[in-house]
Amino acid sequence: MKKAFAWVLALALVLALAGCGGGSGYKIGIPADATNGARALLLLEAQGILTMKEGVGLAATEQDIAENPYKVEIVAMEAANLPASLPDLDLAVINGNYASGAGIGDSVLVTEDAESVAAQTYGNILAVKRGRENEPAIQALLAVLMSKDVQDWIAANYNGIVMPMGAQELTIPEIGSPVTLKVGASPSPHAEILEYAKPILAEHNVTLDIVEFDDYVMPNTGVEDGSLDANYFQHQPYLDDFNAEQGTHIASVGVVHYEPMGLYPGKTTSLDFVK
Amino acid sequence: MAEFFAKYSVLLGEGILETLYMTLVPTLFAYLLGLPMGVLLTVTKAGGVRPAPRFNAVFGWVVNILRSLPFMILMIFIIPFTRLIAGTSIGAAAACVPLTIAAAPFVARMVEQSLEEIDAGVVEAARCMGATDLQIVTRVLLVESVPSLLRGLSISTITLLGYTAITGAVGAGGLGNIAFRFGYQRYQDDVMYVTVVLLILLVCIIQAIFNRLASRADKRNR
Repeated sequence: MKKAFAWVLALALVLALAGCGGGSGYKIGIPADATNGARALLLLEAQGILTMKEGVGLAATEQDIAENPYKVEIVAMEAANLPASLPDLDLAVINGNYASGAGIGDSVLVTEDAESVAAQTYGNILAVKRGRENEPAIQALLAVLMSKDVQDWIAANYNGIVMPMGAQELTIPEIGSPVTLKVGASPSPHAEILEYAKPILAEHNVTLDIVEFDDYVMPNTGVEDGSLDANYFQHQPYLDDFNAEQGTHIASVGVVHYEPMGLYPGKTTSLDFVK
Repeated sequence: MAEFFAKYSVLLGEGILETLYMTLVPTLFAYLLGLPMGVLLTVTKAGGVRPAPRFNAVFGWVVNILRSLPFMILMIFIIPFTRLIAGTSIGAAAACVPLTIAAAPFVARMVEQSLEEIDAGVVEAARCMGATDLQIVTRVLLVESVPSLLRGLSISTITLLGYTAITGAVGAGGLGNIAFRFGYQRYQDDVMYVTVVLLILLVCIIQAIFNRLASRADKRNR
């Protein structure tokens, strides 16, 4: 009996010591869930910290790292838990909403840019029922949302958590008689952005009626049955799934903003180690 | 098949080691804490070796409160404490701290239950022969209940093995985390099946070892 106990104790001690010998190199935290984890790895690749195997895109996991010149150790963990773990990590890739919630939004080193696969894929879209994309009032709404004025306002007001896709000079069609557009949107930032666009659109004879939704189904069914003229709350992959599952006919008119992931400093406070 | 193992053998190998590590180390420390707690719960009970009903009630409450915390919340909640003990809050070594704290009150109840099984007559006999309270605990209660304690140890160990699936949230890895991240979230069914089979094997092996130890320690089998 005593012998067995001694064996167990010895084994546990060996294991405990084995666990303490931490690796050298940089520890970088990323979210453990599929999409955010892949976005995080692509952001690290964009910074030249590592390279991924070709063509993995948004299916990437830490198994798909091709080259790791700085010997970084990727620690995949619960996304919401990353800010609290920063003191134990060198760097972490964190979603803007979690970073902002933890009060570290200002310390961000870099974020995904508007050209990144992630922003292009998960940018939030203005959507209408198929066939209505070219209606003058819809085109006017899109032109205003993409104008330098509104895009600059987005950049200035969300502390990097919401980023503009970039201004485009679209022509605002002439609208003779006043039109009212009913647009379904999530309260923040979508409804706030529409609220800012409202007076600009009014100058062009378009009255914006913003309807706020807290769920992600009603705004789409509303557009499908015509009780809404447009909605602004979702990204393209979500819309594609929704159309496929619900048999709806909703199409994107344009990508307005994206919500980037950022690289935040932990024990390492800059990216100077990347040559 | 060969392709699968070429791609995942390293991941799965690490997973097995991490899971074993996060099961065995916290089990040891949970017993170092939980065994005295269980003894305390038993001896201070009304009608116990040294009754102290008021202390027993308070201590029982403390154990209940610790046991009622969801492990995920406990793990996040004690991050500063974990950092103090392990020097970091992420990885398998750090995960041992919340695992130990979550398991200790569970172990205390398992131990309490084992000690309760001892026939009061045996304790009475020891007292008649002039045994002190401490001697009753170390020479009678703990010795007489060894087979039951060992069976409790197997339950505690396997419960901890289940908890290790959750420690992926602090980047600790392990088989359960691999099944969740690669199998469930990325729809790689083959990874999920292999990890689940590995977990079943681990549980069976642990149970078999303790069954043997318990039956060897049982007087009735001699």
